[in-house]
Amino acid sequence: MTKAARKKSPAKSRSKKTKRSFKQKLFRFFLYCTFIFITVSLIGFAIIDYTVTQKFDGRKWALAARVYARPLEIYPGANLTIEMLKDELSGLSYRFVANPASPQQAAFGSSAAEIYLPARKVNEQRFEAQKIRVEFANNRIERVTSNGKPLTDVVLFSPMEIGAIYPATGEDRILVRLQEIPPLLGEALIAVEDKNFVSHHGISLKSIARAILANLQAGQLVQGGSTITQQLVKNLYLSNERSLTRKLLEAAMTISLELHYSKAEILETYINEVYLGQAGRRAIHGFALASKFYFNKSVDQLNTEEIALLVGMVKGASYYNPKRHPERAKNRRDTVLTVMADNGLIEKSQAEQLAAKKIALAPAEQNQHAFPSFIDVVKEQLLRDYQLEDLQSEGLQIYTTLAPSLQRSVEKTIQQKLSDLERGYSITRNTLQSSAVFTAVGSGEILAVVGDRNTTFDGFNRALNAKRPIGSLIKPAVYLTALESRRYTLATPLDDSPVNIVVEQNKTWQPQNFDHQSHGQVPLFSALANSYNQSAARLGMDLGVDRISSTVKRLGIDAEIPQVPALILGSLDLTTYQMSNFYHTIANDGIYTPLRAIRSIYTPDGKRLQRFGLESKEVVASENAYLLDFALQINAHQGTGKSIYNTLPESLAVAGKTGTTNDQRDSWFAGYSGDLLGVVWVGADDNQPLPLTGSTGALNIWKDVFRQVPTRGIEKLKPARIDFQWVDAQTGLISGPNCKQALSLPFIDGTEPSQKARCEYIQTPVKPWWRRILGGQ
Amino acid sequence: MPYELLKSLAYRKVGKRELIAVTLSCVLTGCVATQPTATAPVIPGQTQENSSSAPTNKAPAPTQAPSQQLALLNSKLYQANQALDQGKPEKAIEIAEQSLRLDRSDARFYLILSEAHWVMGNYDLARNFARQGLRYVRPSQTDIKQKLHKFTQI
Repeated sequence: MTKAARKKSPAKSRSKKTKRSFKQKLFRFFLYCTFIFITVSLIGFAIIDYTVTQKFDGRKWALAARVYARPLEIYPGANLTIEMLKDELSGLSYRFVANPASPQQAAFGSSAAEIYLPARKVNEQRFEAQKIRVEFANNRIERVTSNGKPLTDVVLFSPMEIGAIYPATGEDRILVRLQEIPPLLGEALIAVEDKNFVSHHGISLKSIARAILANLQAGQLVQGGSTITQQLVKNLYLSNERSLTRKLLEAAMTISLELHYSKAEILETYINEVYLGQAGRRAIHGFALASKFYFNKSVDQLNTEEIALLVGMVKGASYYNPKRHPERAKNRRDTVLTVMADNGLIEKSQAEQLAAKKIALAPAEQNQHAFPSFIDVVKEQLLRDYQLEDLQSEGLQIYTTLAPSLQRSVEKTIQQKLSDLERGYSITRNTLQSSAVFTAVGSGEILAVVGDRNTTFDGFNRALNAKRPIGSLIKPAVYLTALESRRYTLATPLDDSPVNIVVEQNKTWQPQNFDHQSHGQVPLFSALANSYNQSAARLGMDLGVDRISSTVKRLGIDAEIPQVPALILGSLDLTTYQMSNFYHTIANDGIYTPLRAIRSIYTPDGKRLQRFGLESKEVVASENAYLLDFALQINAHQGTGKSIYNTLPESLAVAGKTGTTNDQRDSWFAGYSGDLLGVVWVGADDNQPLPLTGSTGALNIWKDVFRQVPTRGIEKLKPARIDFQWVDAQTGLISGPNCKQALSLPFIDGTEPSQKARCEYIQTPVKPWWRRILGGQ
Repeated sequence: MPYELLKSLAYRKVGKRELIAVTLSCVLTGCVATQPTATAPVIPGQTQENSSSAPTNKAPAPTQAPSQQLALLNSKLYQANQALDQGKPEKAIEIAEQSLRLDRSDARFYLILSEAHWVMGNYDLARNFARQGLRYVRPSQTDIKQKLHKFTQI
């Protein structure tokens, strides 16, 4: 080997080495890259996989809380007219037929109804389907029979759904299990959306190729290549963004989903997830809710053409919306019917026959969002115990106290009466507003709430939020304080002469009567019945504002009360709802029971979470409650509320109080029978003076509702320490049944007047109400 | 001791035979317990003559609850007592509340509420319902009056 050769050799060797080293480096580089790519991909997939399974295994959706009315209770003696029953059943989607042969059907005669109730679960109790006959007499249920035999228990109906508290996203759905879905629905869905669903692993190359071909042939985008799994991934995990990254993510998630879950689980989730329409802010998701929304049926009751319509809507729920585009929706439905026939799911002839049918949708939901004012009360009660987020997501079932037929009666009456008042008193149209709360006496259950004359308006709720001066509605608290002091009885004469009260240095308060007259000495019951301000102010000052304030609170007002003399005449701003608490205590014999709009709350799987039971607290002694009730009954007979008996029968004992505020800006009436309390306010939002008093405004609404609704009169049991005594109406001194101006009043033992009045004998004395009715006993 | 006390106060359970007998007697004679006590006011200045002028658009007068309702309330009382016997005070409360929606002045169901709340340890509520029940006790219901009275004093 020459020296040169020896010299060259290392160079060659270096070059070879360099080449080898470059190749090796390149190889190593690719190796590293591959390793990094695989590692990153694996980590990425693991993250994606974790994300997919976390959501799929956990709670996939926020579920709206569903709100129901009280279950209708049918029993002999129930205060329900045949018209009200029909109205209730109509709300429950009963079909009215001549002869009920299947569940959810009813037949109505002039004084009886036959009802076929479906199998149902109410209040955790299961009931079999049953056919009952309900007979009415005197606006009450007289008899309830089944197969000719009297029923020994209350018949409970499934409660009507009246609203929901939706998730912040606006998505609404009813979850359904795959086994509850009619097989034809699942098969049609697969046939139309993803023929190879059962065999592919999430991504179907065949479908993609078929879609490309179809799109090329059509020259536009007519078919997508996404499988059901891919669509589910898009809906459940991804946004609508179109990018390569999103496509890759979608593919990875699809594979992950297919790896972990069965086809049945994927299909079930898809059936619950898919978007099928919009109702205002509420998005309709899933076949179960869609079948209720479009057909008012549960999903298992759908017929073939209805299935075809819903399946067709998956392609574009807005585009094929049958309510807005019936023709387009019908064409799509017919296409789906053809696909179903092509796939052997139905006969070709059947598809043709069904394609000839028009689309038949249920009328728009009447009960959903029909009672926004009542739902507000429900929400307020719920938010005391629950977070809004939980209400919007946990799928709670909330059973309330709403009586739909009474609610509708109150709504109609308010709308009608406000228009009548505007016409009758030449008030500009739509100036008047009203709010009303009707409550069951005793249970404290709120049966109806109106917060706006436009009763479906979901805005400012006057019943809950409009604080208005209560005026004379406060007076029962003043007179109760007087009776409790034992210094006053119903017969005590009060001075109704002009009054001048010093409120501050150099400042006086001179309240006047509504008629601007003074009435001299008037017995206490008459001062209350006629709502005299001068005597009330003098009485209130004698008792002390602090004591009156304390009585107001005791009767159920949980609010700041100004300690000023004007409080005596109702210079206190409260809502209709608050005044319902106050008057419920009076109607409930002096027992305070917090008003309730909710009976119980259940989890989505039917477990009871909470029950709102009856509460009771004695806040007024039975004797004083009896005296106050008596005085308020007098008011209904001969005081400011006497027009009641132009409408109601005299045999129906009711009690109440009118309220009119300064310049007649507010018209109030609060009154009750034995089982129903109603508090009504009428006024204007801009607080303008009106030509209305409590009697001519709010009382008109109150008495018209009480005329329509069957109710029981007040039936008080006389406390042992109460006795009736004849007294002279002028002086309040002892009198007799044959004395002129004598009247029979109740007294607590020991408080009767001791002095006798002069008696001017008369042959035909005035008879008490009960003597007149019972024939002069 | 709540349980001992409850035992001493134990409301005599209504047997099935007794239930039928009570129901039957109510049907045949009309239950006096539901008769209202006349307390409506005398209207000064109104004579027999001028009170007879009846307006035309009046709502129908209320009638007495049908006898079937009385049987129903007796049946509810039986169910509520059974629930108490079976150690289900919540159930007894639900039945009592439902019955009071039918007739809020039936003292027997206030006694059920008192007993059930006492068992559940809600002593204040038990006392309050007993006080309320006493307001509705009819003179003939001496046994119930006595039991309700005991609840108010413990």
